[in-house]
Amino acid sequence: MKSLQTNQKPEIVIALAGNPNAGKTTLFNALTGMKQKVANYPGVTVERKEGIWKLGDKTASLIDLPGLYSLDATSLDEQIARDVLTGKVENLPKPDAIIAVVDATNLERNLYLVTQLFEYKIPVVVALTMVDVFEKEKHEIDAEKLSEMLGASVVSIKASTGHGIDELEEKVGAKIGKREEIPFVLNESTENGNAKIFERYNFISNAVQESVKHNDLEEHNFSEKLDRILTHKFFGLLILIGVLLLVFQTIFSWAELPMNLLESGFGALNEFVKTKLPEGILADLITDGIIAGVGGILVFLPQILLLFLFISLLEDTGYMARAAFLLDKLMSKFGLHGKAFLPLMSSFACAIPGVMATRTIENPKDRLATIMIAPLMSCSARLPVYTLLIATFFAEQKVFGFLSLGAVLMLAMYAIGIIAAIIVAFALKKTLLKSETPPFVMELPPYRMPNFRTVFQNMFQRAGLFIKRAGTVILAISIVLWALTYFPRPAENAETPVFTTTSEEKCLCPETAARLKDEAKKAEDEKQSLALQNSYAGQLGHAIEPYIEPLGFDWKIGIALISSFAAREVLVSTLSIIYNVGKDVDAESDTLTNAIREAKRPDGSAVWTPLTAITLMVFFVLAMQCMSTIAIVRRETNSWKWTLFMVGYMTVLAYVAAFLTYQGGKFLGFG
Amino acid sequence: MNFQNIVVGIVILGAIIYVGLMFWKKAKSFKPTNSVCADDCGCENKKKSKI
Repeated sequence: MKSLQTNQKPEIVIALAGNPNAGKTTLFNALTGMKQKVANYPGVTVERKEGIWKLGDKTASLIDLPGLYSLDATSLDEQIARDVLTGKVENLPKPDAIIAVVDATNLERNLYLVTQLFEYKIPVVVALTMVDVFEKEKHEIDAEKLSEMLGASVVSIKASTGHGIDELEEKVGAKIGKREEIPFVLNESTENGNAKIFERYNFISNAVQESVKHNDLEEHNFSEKLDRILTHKFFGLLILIGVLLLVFQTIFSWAELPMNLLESGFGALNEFVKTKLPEGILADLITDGIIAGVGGILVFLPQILLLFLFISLLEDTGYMARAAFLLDKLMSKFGLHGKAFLPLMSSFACAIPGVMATRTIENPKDRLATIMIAPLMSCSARLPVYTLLIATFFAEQKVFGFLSLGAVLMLAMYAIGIIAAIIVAFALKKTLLKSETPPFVMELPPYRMPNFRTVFQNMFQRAGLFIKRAGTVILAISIVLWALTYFPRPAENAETPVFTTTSEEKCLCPETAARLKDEAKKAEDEKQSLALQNSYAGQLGHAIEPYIEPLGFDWKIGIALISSFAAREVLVSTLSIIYNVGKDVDAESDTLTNAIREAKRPDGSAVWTPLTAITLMVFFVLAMQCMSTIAIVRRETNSWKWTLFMVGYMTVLAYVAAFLTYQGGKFLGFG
Repeated sequence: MNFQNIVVGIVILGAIIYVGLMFWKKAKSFKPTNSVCADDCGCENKKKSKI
């Protein structure tokens, strides 16, 4: 390995290309002795790394291209790489040779880029990295045979130790000044992008079959057999539905005990504070605001933990990639780009990373279509809302005698989101975002035993985020919301019967005393309920009530809908606070679920019915109730027009779907 | 004004400031910085991501 000072004028230009994480930078540093110059490609802020490499008696300028998977599409990185290879970059001549860094552990995928590099007719030398790792995985690779099959020199290197660097220098030196031909037939006349991809992969497949020996055939065959079932268009989908039902059913049954314990814990804490603190505004704030608001959310921690445990397990075993493959086939039929699947999968945890992950989609219209539908995926913040309503109205109910109705409803909510996303994407791709969907090749990872350390790490990381959110954002919103439900206070001189145990009352018979106590309590509850109605939040709720009445929602649900715009799970905190402040939570209805079941309208009819619960869930699946998502969409699209379009269409969709659910349900006699 | 009112007042004020700051931070993040422009129709200030 030799290097020169950067002030020497290079005679030749060599480009270093490869997939991300193939070992390109390590090789670049090894060849240039880490003497690199960093500049920007003109007109854009993409970094360009350039170094000097002494190649025999010549001086070469080594250009490190951005990490690429292909040169197919129009992403910025690929555009720059193509410009470099065709000599279109200012002050940078066309390269005399290309060193293609190929990761042996991902041979097929890495060689795909190499086949595209061949098409530039510039001499290519393949630098094979990670051979030692590949051989540890029970495979053997014959570099000479691979070289013969590819029609290009192949050198095994280990840049960190310098192994193979001299041979690489020799091979590259020998190629300078030579014109290369494409070593395979590429039918240029074909217009079909898929046909070209298949031609390249055929060539790669032949080369790999001849040069690589797999000693893990048994595992490989098993994996192939399993894939045939799990990615089957009918049985695969059936298995996916079964797996999801099992996951939801397990979440409900396993989480029940810890949830009840947490609920009792917060109830006991509430009682403890009430007995220790004197009656007054401070005790009300702590019990009705902080404990009800934050505790109301924290009881869902077991469910969040279990959801992420199962997601991590499915990801780590390799099954999630098969599920992705299955749904990708379905989505591509509706014009969605294959690369849209990963952002959409991320959106099941949270739409924010999902929207950010769309950056991998090159076509701006495909990317925009994916951003527009990502918030329709049921994120983890919706889980407490679904769980609360399911636990309140559908707990213990079975379908076909063995399936929990809760699990079926939960699956239905996820399915509604996916179906709505597919329909919206289809409509957008046919109208506003009309464009060809480019072909996409998906690599399925091997099946393996899950790494429990990673699984638990992931699970606790998500739980940490949930607790942090409850202790910060939700705590602050709960306090503000409590203040809005508490103020303005009714005049102190308002008539309120007060029950006190006087010596005279002690003489009353127990029945009369109980009746008096009951009446006094009723009067106190009425006063509290009136105070809530006249509070700032109550006034706001009443103002929007006429608009949400057709959905079966009253003004209290209206307040919860407004507050949940800050974060979806705040709906649960809000209901908890409202029913506490309004004194709907009494000795008989000491939990939020009981309070919801027993809530009454002024005419004495129940506020909540199973139909109201389903309507609210449908509204929540489709509504854009998340300020953070709106912010990220605005940032990523750089357009108010599209951000408002998304908020608008989702709100209209949610309202119409909830209206149809409620009115349709009532019409069918479910009201 | 008694002690309880003062404590509750401070807590509410703190919560309002926190929520306000959160909204302000979110509003600030509405401004695109270093974003990849997805809208090829209305991107006057087209900026590209750094790699």
